[in-house]
Amino acid sequence: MIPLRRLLAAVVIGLLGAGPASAGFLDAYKPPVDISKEGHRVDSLFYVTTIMLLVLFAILSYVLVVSSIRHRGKSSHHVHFHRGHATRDLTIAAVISASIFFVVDGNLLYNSYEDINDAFWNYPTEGDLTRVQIMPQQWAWRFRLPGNDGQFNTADDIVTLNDLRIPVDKQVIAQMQSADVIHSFFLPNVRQKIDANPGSVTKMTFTPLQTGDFEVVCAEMCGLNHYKMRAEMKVLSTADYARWHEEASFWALSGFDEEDAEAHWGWDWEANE
Amino acid sequence: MSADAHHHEPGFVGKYIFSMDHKMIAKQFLWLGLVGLAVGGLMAMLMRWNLANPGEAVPLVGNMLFPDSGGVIPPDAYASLFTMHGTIMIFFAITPLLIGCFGNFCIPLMIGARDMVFPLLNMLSFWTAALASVFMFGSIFVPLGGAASGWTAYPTLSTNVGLPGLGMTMWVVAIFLIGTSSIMGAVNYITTVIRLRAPGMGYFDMPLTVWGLWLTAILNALFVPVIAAAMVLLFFDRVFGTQFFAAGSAVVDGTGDPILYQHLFWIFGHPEVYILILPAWGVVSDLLSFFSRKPAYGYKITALGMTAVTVLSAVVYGHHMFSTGLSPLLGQSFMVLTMIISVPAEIFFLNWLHTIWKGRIRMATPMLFSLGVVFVFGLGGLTGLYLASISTDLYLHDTYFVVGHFHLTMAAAAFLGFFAGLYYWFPKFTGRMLNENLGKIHFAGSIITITIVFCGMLLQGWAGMHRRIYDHSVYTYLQHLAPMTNIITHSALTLGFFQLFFVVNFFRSWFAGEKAPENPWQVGTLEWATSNPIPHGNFEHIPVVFRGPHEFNNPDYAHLGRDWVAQWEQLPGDPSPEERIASTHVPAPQAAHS
Ligand SMILES: [Cu+2]
Ligand SMILES: [Cu+2]
Repeated sequence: MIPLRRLLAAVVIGLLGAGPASAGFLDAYKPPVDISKEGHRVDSLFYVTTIMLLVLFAILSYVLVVSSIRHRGKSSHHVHFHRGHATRDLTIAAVISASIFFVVDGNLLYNSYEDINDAFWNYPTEGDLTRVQIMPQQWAWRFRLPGNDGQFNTADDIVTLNDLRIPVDKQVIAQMQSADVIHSFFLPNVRQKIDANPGSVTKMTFTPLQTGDFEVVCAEMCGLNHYKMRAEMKVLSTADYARWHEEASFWALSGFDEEDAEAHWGWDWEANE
Repeated sequence: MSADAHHHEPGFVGKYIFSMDHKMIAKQFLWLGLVGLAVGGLMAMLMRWNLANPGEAVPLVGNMLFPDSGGVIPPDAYASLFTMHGTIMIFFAITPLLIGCFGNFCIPLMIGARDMVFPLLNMLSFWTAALASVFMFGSIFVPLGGAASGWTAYPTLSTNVGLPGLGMTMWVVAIFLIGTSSIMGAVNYITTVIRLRAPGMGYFDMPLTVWGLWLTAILNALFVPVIAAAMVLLFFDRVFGTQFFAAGSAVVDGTGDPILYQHLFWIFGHPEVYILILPAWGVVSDLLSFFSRKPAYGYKITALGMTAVTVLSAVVYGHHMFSTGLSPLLGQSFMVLTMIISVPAEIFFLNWLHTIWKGRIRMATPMLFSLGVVFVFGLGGLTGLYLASISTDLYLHDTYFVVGHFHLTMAAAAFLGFFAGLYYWFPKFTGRMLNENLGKIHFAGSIITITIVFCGMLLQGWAGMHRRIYDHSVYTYLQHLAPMTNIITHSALTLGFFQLFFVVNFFRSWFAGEKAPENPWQVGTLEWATSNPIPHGNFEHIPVVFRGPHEFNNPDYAHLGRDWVAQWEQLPGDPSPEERIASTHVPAPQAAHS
């Protein structure tokens, strides 16, 4: 029979060896680059929680492994007869659970509360903002930016398909509603998603801090081609954006067709603030 | 009592088909659930094949299943697969196996009853479930394809706007019917536990298995009607053109509200995850004690902890809707309530660990599976915290992180709990033992692959991979995850392969297994008080219960020369049956069923 201590030692050594190896392996599985002012809140909360949970998981595994090996059947040790019904037992269990609650859950609650009130669900109504209206449909993303007049639902609105352009370093506020079924506007690089529902307007806000092309994903099952309902989000430098915006607004105005009801899907911005 | 012996023998139809005997109904639910498990599992493997090899023909069965596309799973079939996989596993595998089969088999035997309190209702419950499965499995084969909205069936996708086919309507009918079956079973279980406990058996003398099944039944009776109502409204929207869930957008042009459905769905849907896991918690709480040869640590606290989780499960459902545009006040309230549920859960989890600590563990197959439940439920429970917190959920919602989490908690834990119970009660069920060696191979193969599959999904979800996607290679930010997708697929197929050890073991043992001794595990709960095969009416004489279910290695009984004492044993120093009945206020059931 294998001596149990050696078996345990082997497991520990194996784990120690596997640790660094798996760290490199796990490194491949982290979220895509965070380009937003707010995204680090999700990342840091995730990592801190993970460290705490790994400690709890290690304790759980220790109890499972040690009792399975050391307290096995034929060993002649004394069985610890204990009902665990005394007030003292309950107190210990309650104290352990309460400590876990206040440390792990408490940290999550506190940070989530801060995060949604300071950032994710704190929707700005005034100031220098990039305002976007989004109307997804099966299976594409339609975006609407106000033209040079700064107003939605006018002839110079810039309407794009699967191509969202926004300037860097400026807070974005998006309003969205769906044309048909429920979709979900997911920006992995911003760590946020919000559903786009038919019949009501939902909102998302973030501030992009990095230029480049990033992916927009539909995160809610929306039918046959849900899997390829993808758009590009191009974060442009302030100058590039201004140049593009000027031009796009001009072409929008010149191409405006009063008769084309399909294209006039925008809504009154203020009414949904 | 002697009247039972004269009970006239029912014919073949009465005995095997329209049986009102709880043991036969348990077997019927077992077969239904095993078919569901096999179908649902094979569907999962088809999906895993496609995820690792999108657009490639499925080997062996591809041409048979998907002849029009040359053996390749097309996107619409993939959507049907994940919809039906979820629905079948929840309503036609876990529900019939853990609730239908264990509930029917264990409750009367473990509380010392002759049958359920309403045997006719019990039979109707099974046949309603059978009818539901006709609709559910039939929906795959109708023109325009089966249901393809995900198991959550959110409108407006699930209305005619998104899925006009007959298959989706049949799916709605099937869910309504299986819900009706669950409610009938629930009423029966609740009443049986209250009315038919053996004399002397107080609530805190019941095995924790019965506690788990009883709490599940209470949740079923309270919350299944909510999804039944949602299904009625959805059916009206689909068939009669009402607009309960159709909203006023351009295409849909209705006056209803699709979010209303989500509220109804999750008012049921969150309790449902506890409905599915409570029986497994109960079974595991008992088996850890039985096989550690120690009392279940903090028995009463475990029972009350499970009760607290049951109560709280009613008020946390909003955590499924953080990304719907929920009002911040509601979001915060649901976040706090959800986190509070972790406290009672942690308490009974600690009790489990305490139970096995310093025991004298017998590593039989039921114990291995029970330890497996503790492991996967630990993993799944901890990862739930990220999803209860709004901040992290806004990123993780609808990614593979969620898929990994809920498979660990309510799929892996529930099925491992089912196998723990099946290996344990099989001798009572059939009079024969399942083979231990095959059982151990089944366990080892399953636990390793389960861990790889679902932990892999957690990693992919954290990397941002969203769910219900036919082909992830469409997205550049997910390309580097392909190796992990391959690992998961290989593990999932291996997991499927290891179930063959169970299939062989199950059939071989059912017909030709080693004959079971009267009390193979040396456990003192009431189902072991009766002979094998179990006589009609279960017990020759209904036993009087003198103690709780977990009396192991009690130093007071050391002189007996064995490490266990049965619930029904009257030992020197115990009260007389009359005194015991008087002190517990549990007399013999009044209108005993004959
Ligand atoms: Cu979509
Ligand atoms: Cu939930």
